[in-house]
Amino acid sequence: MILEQRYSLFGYRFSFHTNVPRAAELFSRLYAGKTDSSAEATANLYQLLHCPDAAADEQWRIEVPGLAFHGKPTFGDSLYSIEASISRDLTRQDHGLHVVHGAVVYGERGDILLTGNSGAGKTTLSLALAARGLRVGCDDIAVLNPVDGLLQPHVRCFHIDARSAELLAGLGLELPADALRDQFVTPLDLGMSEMPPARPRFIFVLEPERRQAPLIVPETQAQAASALLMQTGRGRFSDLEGVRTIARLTGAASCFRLWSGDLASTAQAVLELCATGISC
Amino acid sequence: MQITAMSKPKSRETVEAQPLPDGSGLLFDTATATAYPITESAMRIWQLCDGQNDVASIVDDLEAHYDVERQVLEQDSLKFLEDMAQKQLLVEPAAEA
Amino acid sequence: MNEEKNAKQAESLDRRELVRKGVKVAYVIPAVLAAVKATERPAYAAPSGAPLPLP
Repeated sequence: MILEQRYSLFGYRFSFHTNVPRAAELFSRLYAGKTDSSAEATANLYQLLHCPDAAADEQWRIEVPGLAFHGKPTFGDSLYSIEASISRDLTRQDHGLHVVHGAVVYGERGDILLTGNSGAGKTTLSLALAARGLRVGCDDIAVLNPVDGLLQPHVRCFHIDARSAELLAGLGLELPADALRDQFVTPLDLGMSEMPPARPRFIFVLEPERRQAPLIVPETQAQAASALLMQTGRGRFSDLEGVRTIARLTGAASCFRLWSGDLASTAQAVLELCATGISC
Repeated sequence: MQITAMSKPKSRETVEAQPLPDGSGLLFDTATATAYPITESAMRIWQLCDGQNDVASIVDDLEAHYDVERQVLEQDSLKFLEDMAQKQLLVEPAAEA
Repeated sequence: MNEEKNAKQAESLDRRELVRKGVKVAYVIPAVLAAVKATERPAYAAPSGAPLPLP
């Protein structure tokens, strides 16, 4: 039996079809509240089928718009690939929004934006902050509205490997065993159901270089803007429009550059800084 | 383009300046699509680069805002303006009639 | 390190107040801090992860 689900993310409408109930359940948890209620059909189809009678290396059939694939990846890898394809296709839509590489965390004294290249540590730091009681809106992509300057998290699964899971358990963040097994942890698994738009009061530009102890250095809003500009896709905006929108974002925040040390100390340092509530 | 104490530097029209609340500034050269974040004092200098202010009056403004010896302000300003000229963000002001 | 950070942040707050009052503020030399080519950005900020095809 094929289970069919339809979702709409920032106006990007798509269907997810699967004959694996667990997959349908996980996507339903991930995209909770994002069901597409429109009667209009969509051609954007993502499909995951398990074919147990097929040859060993063709038991998973994965389809995304424009591409079909047979193979034997793990269930978790299949899910993650489909979710990553959805996210990629979403970022390429003409939705009139800026797509920013960043993690959005909701703090007591104000919202936090962590930005930096892939591998800089946005995911692990945002989850370490979650272990300290903060809510994570997203760990990878956020969508910036040029009209009101609000940053809306794009909900993604947290693809957590065994090592990260161990690190986070050490910080007190317990993740559901089945979510970890499938390597598909949803925000709901972390107790997060609502992701309100954010207006960051604190922006951290993460450097990839690791240090023994974390180092946080104040950054001018202009420097943060130029760093964040490189983490923002061009989309259909002119470069000048991008610069203005990003400058507006950093102009409303206290900005810092962060070199991470061990995870616990780094999370603590960020928390302490944000707790002072110093604003620009 | 040579910058001297007599120069009256003028910002190139293709360069958009975005001042930020902390005093720093972002210059964006639309001709080369290059963004240049600059310090507060640099932004102060840039905003006076209208082809009317000579370097001396730019330094006067800096002196009013910073407790630094005039000589230091002059040297730093000239160095910054030379850098701006090298990056082709300044133009020769029109010759006076 | 915390005291140092707090001191720098307190300085930022005081700076704005001082500027408003016309008092001289701390000087950082006029300089260009970076040069970032906007055209070197990707067309779209790519999400992390491995969209198809899988290895």
